[in-house]
Amino acid sequence: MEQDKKLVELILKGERERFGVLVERYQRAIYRFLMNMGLDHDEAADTMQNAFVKAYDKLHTLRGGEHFRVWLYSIAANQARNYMRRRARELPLEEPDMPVHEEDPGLLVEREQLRSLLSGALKRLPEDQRKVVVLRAFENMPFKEVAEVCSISLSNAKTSYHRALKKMQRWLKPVASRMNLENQG
Amino acid sequence: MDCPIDEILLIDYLEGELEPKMARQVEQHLEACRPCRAEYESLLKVKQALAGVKESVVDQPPESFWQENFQAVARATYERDSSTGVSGGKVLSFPRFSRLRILAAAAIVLLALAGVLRLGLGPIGPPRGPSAELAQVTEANQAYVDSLYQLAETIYQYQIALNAMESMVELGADQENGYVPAGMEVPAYSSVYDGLAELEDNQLQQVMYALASDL
Ligand SMILES: [Zn+2]
Repeated sequence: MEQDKKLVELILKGERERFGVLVERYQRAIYRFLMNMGLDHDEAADTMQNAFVKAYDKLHTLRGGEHFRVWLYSIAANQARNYMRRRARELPLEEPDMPVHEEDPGLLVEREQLRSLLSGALKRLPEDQRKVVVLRAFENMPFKEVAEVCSISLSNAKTSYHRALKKMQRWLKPVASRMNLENQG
Repeated sequence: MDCPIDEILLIDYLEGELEPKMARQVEQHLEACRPCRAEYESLLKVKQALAGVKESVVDQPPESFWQENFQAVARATYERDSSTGVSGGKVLSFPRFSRLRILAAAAIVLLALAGVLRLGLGPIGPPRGPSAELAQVTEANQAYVDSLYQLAETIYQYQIALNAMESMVELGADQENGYVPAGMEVPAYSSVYDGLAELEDNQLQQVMYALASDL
């Protein structure tokens, strides 16, 4: 399989059809990223398409094809901003509702509930913190790349991540014992 | 308590971004310092919870969605390049099937020829002055462009089909190597794939020709 660096070189030399390999390679990850950033399916599909076309148009401005992946994420994140702003305005500011098991509140929170809990908590994070968490925890990006995608310093990326985890921990606390999250004295 | 661990160091430790020596020092501090340990463990729980739902937060769209996205990007980039003349009208290719590029290139040449022929017929009916003639030519041009798009569309469909077949072939190879879980059914190789793979380049062009004449 050809590395991004090589592919980008070939594309810029005129083998433009090879861009298809990059689309195929990254479309699933970019879609997942956009969905995790809170876009709905149609918005994510639209944003992803625009991001790829923009990357194709601006490929000559990319310095070093090995950065393609990080660069593509930042294009997608920028294209998603309008949607995310709108989404942020729609959201009520109160704390998220935590589901409680009706028959037995002491029961361990099931995976499905955990999933909705966490996605609820993610939604309440400010956009910049959410982006850092999604890139680091879901996309497995090293902090150095997270910082690049978000155009922030390395230490800011880590601080944001720390704040986000603290917030989520606070929100999840009411159900923490049931999902084995509780540990605070 | 005077703690040497700030939030960044703690995050570095949590995320495994520290050198082993440094990590050991943090570890030793965490063993000795209760507040820091509590802080670390609460962060770890959230991190683990996130890792636990990582695969399931986003619903997977159907397989056709990826093909649609690929096609949409391919169409958009193709249109851009055609309007700027950058690429000489290449369509994006799916990975793993480079022969399709030959196919696609052959198709573009064929269609270009068809376009030239069509233009060569000139305006139909009595001549009505230069502007009418121009309108006719533009119309023919439009038809040519339309058919190019149509053809491109067909090629994308072909690519999708062939790509799927390639996956089947790979899956079959995986099964031979024991990578496919027992009980998982591997579809039979498509005869279309086998047939296409055996074609000579000039035969491929003929297939393409037949395809083009269907439009
Ligand atoms: Zn301490």
